[in-house]
Order: sequence, then structure tokens, then C-alpha cells
Amino acid sequence: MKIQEKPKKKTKVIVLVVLGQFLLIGAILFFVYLSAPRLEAPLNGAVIREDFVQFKFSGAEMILVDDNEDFSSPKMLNVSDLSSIGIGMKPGKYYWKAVGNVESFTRSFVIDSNVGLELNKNESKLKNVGNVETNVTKEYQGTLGGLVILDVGVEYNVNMTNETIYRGEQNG
Amino acid sequence: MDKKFILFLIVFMSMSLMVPSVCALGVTPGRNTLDFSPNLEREFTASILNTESKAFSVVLSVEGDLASYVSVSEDKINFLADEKSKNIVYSLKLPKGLSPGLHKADIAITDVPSGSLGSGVSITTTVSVITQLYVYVPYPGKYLEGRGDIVNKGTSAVFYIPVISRGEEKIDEAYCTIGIYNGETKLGTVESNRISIEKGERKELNAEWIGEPGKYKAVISLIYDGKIETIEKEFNLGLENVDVLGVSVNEFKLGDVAKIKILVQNKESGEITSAEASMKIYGSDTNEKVADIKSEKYNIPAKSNKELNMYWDTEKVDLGQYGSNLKINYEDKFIEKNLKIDVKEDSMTFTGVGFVVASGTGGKMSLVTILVIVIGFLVLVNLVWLIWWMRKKKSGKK
Repeated sequence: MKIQEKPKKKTKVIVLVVLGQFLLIGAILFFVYLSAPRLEAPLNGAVIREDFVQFKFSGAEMILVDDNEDFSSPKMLNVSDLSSIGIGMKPGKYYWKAVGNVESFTRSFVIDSNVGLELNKNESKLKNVGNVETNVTKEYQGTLGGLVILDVGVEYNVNMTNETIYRGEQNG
Repeated sequence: MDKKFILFLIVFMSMSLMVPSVCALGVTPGRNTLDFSPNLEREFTASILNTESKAFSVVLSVEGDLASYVSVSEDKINFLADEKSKNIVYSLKLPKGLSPGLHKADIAITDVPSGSLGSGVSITTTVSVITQLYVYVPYPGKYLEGRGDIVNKGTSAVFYIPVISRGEEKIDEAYCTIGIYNGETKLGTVESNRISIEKGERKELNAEWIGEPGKYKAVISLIYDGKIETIEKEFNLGLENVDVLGVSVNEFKLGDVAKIKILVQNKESGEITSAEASMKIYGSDTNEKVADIKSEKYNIPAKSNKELNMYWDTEKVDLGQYGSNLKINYEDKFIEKNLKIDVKEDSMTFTGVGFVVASGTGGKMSLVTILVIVIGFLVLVNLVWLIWWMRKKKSGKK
């Protein structure tokens, strides 16, 4: 009878130890989860069509944003006492995380490029009204030729000629 | 009298119709990029933007070496004045194989001036915007593509060289040496960190050079597993020549037109002509644009400050905080500032918001790191416990 009781006791101890470890992991993770900053917006994988991003979070001291997943050259926003911050950004894919007591998980979002061209009433000025550097070509009587590379918001004087199409495409 | 009035009305309306309008068109995204996969079939969506809120038509066409693999859902789209955007869908059906490198399709969206379709009248001057489709086919062996981004930090230049492995094989070691030139004179060389890059992976090399203010040329030699690619880029070192000293609004009451004063400093020894301020204002809860305002064009005399004024109608504006992006355009250049706007019943205040280049994360651990440490610690404790238990068992047997 005594010989059977010993292994039973040992098994009980092992089960208790394993359970205790699970509980410990759970408690630590729960504590870390509670103290980690929360990321609300932009959502993971969000596609943003404005070149302005509104970051929403809680429990963060700073926000780190990078176009590399490994955050090798991050840009930082100090956000102590804030729960949201808006900032103008160039088109591209970005990764972001918040730093508080610990670092949060990483999320990514994309700012879509927008190619926009405006020809004024007198057909004398072209303007890049998009959010990316735009390569403008001129199509005249079936012939296509490079004209100018326009930075965002920049105007360019053109000569008024009929049957001309000014074509804009994302540069680079 | 009535007949005269009607005649005047007809003439006025005819003249109004003859006045040329602004021709503006936008498309987003400007580019979709994907890696080649044999027989891949995929649909893409792009939005055509009616930036001038007018009724117009566009025609669509596809060009480029991938044109025969792309089909567009519609070839003509009509916009009503109140339609801000319309989506187009285009589908791609790739062949079994393509030659290595970049392959493109351009989906051109062309504004059609009224009266130029179907009436035999030729197209007058117009604009066209393109949404591009880029398909990358891997090169045989090792191939690294890089570009040079240079950040002027006043007394130093920081080089960020994003690199993408576009070959079929992994790159074991990649780094770059950067030669700094003033004219033909070489001033020095800096070297970046060394990294390995998997097939299709994007990573970044970086280096820093400290120097005097001035205009320089960087010759970036990208070295990877015995191959060298060279990129040349000019850059400026030193402080910006134009700066925003302050943004303010005086005597404001919510509902009024707010006069926003931007104090701009010209640090150059020559006059700046046609400086223009523009500001996009966004809601604090959404990315929705609330206002898009701009100033007149101003000349700023050498080594002096000038106030650039903009007006924001706050009749439909609520109390609260707003985000904004301020841009000062001058002589083909621009500077940008991000500002937080706090709108109260009788005041409007602006606070600067901006990114700084971070050198680290303050030594804070990530959730994953903590999880790894906890699990590692428990594995270690269990191992120690197991070894102790086995030894005890062995000694018990003896």
C-alpha cells in the first residue's frame, strides 16, 4: 500500500508544479499586457488615402514610426499625456509601435500615393496637386516627350497649344 | 424690356459656358507593386478623384509592356459635379514566364473636354493621370537594388540606403562605402553597417558624415557578395534657409473667419519671391480634411521676416483639437510643419508637432522579448529541477 502511495504523491507534485508555472506565465503576461501601451489607430494593414495620419493610443510615452520592419532608423513622436496625435506623412508603407512601460506590438499601415495634375483656366500653368513627385510628359500630335518632374504643390509654366495632353505619373 | 433681359440672360449664359474652367484630375494609388508569380491572376482597384467637383468625362487606356495582360472594367466614365471619386477595377493575368527585371503597365485616365467626344471636334489641351502597375521578376543569382536617402541634420548628414534583394539567391553580406566630394575634391569616406538579406527582403544600411555647411556630392558604392553598384547624389549640409518662426491668430471668436498669421524668416542673402503658405486641417478623430487654405504670394526681402496671412472660415467648425500640415512653398522648394490646433470659443492656439530621428527606444522591452525571457527562465528552472530530481533518483537507487 505504501509503495503505491509514493508515485501518486510525486505525480501530484509534478502536476502542481506544472500548473503553478502556467499560472505564473499567465500572471506575468497579464501584468505585462495591462501595462503595455494600447494601439487603436491606424489599424494593422490600414490603407490611408490622405497624407495625414491620426495615431490613437493609450499608455504611451512615445510613438515610433519607420519604413523598415526592424525599426533600424525610426522617427519618434513624444506623446506623453496624449491619447492621439496627427501628423503629415509621405506615401509609403510604415510600421509603428508605442513605447510606455514596455513596447507594444508592431502594426503597419500604407499611405497611398495620389497623382494629381491641374491645368489652370488660361492653360498656362500646370500644378502638381497630388502627394507625390510627378513626372509630367507632353503628348502633342501623337508624339510623347518628357517635360518636367514636379514636386508636390509646385507649378510649372506651359505654352498654350491645342491638341496637347499633359500626362502625370508617379516619379521614381 | 423683358425681351432685352432674356437676350442678356442668353448671352450671359453662353459666355459663361465659353469661359474655360480649371482642368484637374487625380488618381490614387499612383502605383501598385507586386512580385512576379507564374499565371498569377489578380484584381486591383484605383480611385479617380474629381478634385474640382465638376461634371466631366474620362477615357481609360492601358499602355506599357504588360498592357496585353491587363484589362480595365470600363473605358469611359462620366462624373457628376457632386461625385468626389469613382473606382475603377482592372485585372491582371500574368503569363507563365517573363524576362527578369521590372515590367510595367500604365493605366492612363484622360480628362475629356466637353464636346470633344463623338462630335468630330478634336481634343483641346487637357490632362491625364496614370496609375502604374509594377511587376518585378527576380534576376538569376544575386541582385541588390538600392537608393540613397540623405537627411541634413545641420552639422551632419545621415545616409539611409534602403536595399531590396531582387535576385533569386540570398545575399550573405551587403554594405556600402560613401565617398564625399566637394566638386572634384574627395573629402572623406564613411562606411555603413554590414547585413545579410534574404530573397525579396527589404533592409536598410546607414552611415553618418560630419562636415561644414555646404553643397556636396555623395558617391555611394553598394557592395554585396563581390558585386558593386554605384549611386551618386547631391546633398546640402547646414540649416534651412527659410524657417517658420510662429503661427498665431488674434481676436478670434468661433464662427468668425480666423486670420492665421505665419511669421516666416528668410535667412538667405537674396530676396525670396512668390512664397506661399498653405495649410490642410484635419479632424482630431478622423483623417477627414476639414479645411484646405492658402495665402497670397509674398516676396520676403533678404535676411528679414514676413507675415503670411491665411483665412479659415470657422462657421461650421466645432470646439476641440485639430491636426494640421503647414507648408511654405518658395522657388520650387518647400518646408513643412505639423501643428496641433486647439480651437476654443474665443481663442485658437497652435502647437508644433514633429518627428525627431530616434537613436533607440529608451531601452524598453517589447512584449515578445518579455515573453521570451519568461519562457526562457521557466525552461531553465525546469531543467535545473529535472537534473536535481534525476540525480536524487540515481543516488536513491544506489
